[in-house]
Amino acid sequence: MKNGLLKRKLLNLFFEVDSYYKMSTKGITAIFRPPIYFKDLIEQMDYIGSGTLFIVLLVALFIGMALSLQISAEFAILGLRMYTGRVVGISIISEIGPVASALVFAGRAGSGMASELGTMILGHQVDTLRVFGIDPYRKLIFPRIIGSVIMLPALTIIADMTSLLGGYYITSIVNNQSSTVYWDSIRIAMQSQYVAAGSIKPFVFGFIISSLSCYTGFTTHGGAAGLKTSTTRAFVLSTILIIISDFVVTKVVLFLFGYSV
Amino acid sequence: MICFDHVVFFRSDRMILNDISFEINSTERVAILGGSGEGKTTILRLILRLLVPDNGRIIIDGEDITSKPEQQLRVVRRKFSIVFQDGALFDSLTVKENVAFYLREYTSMSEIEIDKKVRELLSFVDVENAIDLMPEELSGGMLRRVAIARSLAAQNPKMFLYDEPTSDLDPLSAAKIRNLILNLDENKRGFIVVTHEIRDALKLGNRFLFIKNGKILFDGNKEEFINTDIPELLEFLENS
Repeated sequence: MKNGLLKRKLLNLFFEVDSYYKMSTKGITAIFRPPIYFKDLIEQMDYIGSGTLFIVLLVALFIGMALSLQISAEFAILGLRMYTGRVVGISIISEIGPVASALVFAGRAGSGMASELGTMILGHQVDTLRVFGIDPYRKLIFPRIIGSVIMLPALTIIADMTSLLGGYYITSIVNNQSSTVYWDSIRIAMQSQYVAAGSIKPFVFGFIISSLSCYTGFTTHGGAAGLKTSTTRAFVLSTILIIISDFVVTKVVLFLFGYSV
Repeated sequence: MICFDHVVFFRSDRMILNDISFEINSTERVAILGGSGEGKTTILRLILRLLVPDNGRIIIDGEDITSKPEQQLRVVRRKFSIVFQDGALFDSLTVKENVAFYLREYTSMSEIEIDKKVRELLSFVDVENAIDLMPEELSGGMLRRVAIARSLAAQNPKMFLYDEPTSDLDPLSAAKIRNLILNLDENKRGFIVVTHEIRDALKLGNRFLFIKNGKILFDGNKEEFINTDIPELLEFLENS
C-alpha cells in the first residue's frame, strides 16, 4: 500500500517536472519562432520593474543599514572597523543583494504572474487565445520569463547600490568613519569571483521565479481555492529554489575561480 | 460535421465521459443538458480539442482531430465560435480592444476600419455604449454579448458553441441572450448550447442530449424530450 502511494507520488512528481520543463522550453524558444510579442514583453518589463522597484529599494536600504550596524558593532570590539565596508560590500554584492532582490521579486512579481495566469486559466481566457490560434506560450510565458531575466538583474544592481549607500550612511555618517575608507575597502574587496557570483545569480533567479510562477499559474484548477494554492505554491517553490540555486551558483563560481571549498 | 466516437475522458482519477458517441450536423440546434460537473463543458472543449480524450476519436468534417498537433488545429477551430461561461473576455483590455483583438492580430485592417467593424458588431449585440469600458465594469449579460461580438469578429464560423449562456443572469438579460443566439441562427448556422436551464434548452434547441454519470442517457427531439420516461431525466426536469 505504502509502496503504491510512493510510486504514485514519484510518478506525479516526474510528470510535473516534465510539464514544467516543456512549458519553460516552449516559453523560451518562442524567441526563435515569430510572431514575437514585443509589446507584451515591454508591458511585462514595465509591470515587473516599476512594480517591484520601490519595495526593492526600501528593503535594500534597510538591509544595508542593518548589516553595517551589526558589523560595525562587532568590528569595533575587535578594532577592525576599517574593514566594515569590505565585509558589507562582499556580503551585499555576492550574496544578500541578489537573494534579497529575488525574494522580493518572487513575492511581488512572481505571485502576481501566478495569480494573473491562474485567473486567465480559470476564466477560459487562455482557451480563448488557443481558439483564436494564438500560442499562449508565446503570448503569455515568453514575455514573463524574458522580462524577468532582464529586469531582475537590473533591479539587483539598483538594490546593491542602495544597500551600499545604506551601509555608507551608518558607517560614515552615523559612526563617523571616513567615507574614503568605506568606499576604498569595498573597491579593494571586489574581486572577480564576488562580482561574477553577484552577476550570474539574478539571471538564474529571474528564470527560476518567472518559469515556476508561470507554471503554477498555468496549472491552476479548482476555482478560488486553487488560485490561492497556485499563488502560495509559486512563492514557496521560488523561495526554496532561490536558496538552493544560490548555494549551487556560489559553489560553481568559487570552483571556477580555483577555490577548493 | 461533429462525430464523437466512443470518447472517454478522465479528470484526475474521475471519469467525466464514459464511452460516449454521437454525431451533430452543422445546421442542428443542439442543447446539451445535465447537472453541474457532468461533463457538458468538457464536450465543448473536446470539440475544439482544447482537451485531449483519453480514449476514442473526435472527427470534425471527416477529419480525425484526436491527435492533431496544436499548430494544425487553427483550421479546425476556425469552424467554430465559442462563447464561454462568463464571457472569458481579456480583463486587461477594454471592450473595444477585446472585440478588436483578433482583427489586430490577424488582419491588415487599418485602425479606422477596425473601429468601424467593432462598433458595427457591438451595435449588433446592443452594447455599443460600453465600447470604452473594462470587462469588470460590465454586467453579466453585457459580458456575454461582448463575448458574442468578439467571437463574430474573430471568424465566420460554421457553428456556434455556447457554454451556459444565461447562467446567473436576470430574466430580461437571459431573454436578450436567447434572442441573440436565435438571430445568429438565421444563416442556417447551427449551434450547441450547454446548459442546465430547461427554459433555455426548450427555447433554443431542436435536439436534446442529456448527460449523467458520463453517459448520454437521452438523445432526441423536443417532443421525445418532453414526453420522456427516463427516470434520471424526469428527475432532472422535475427539479429544474
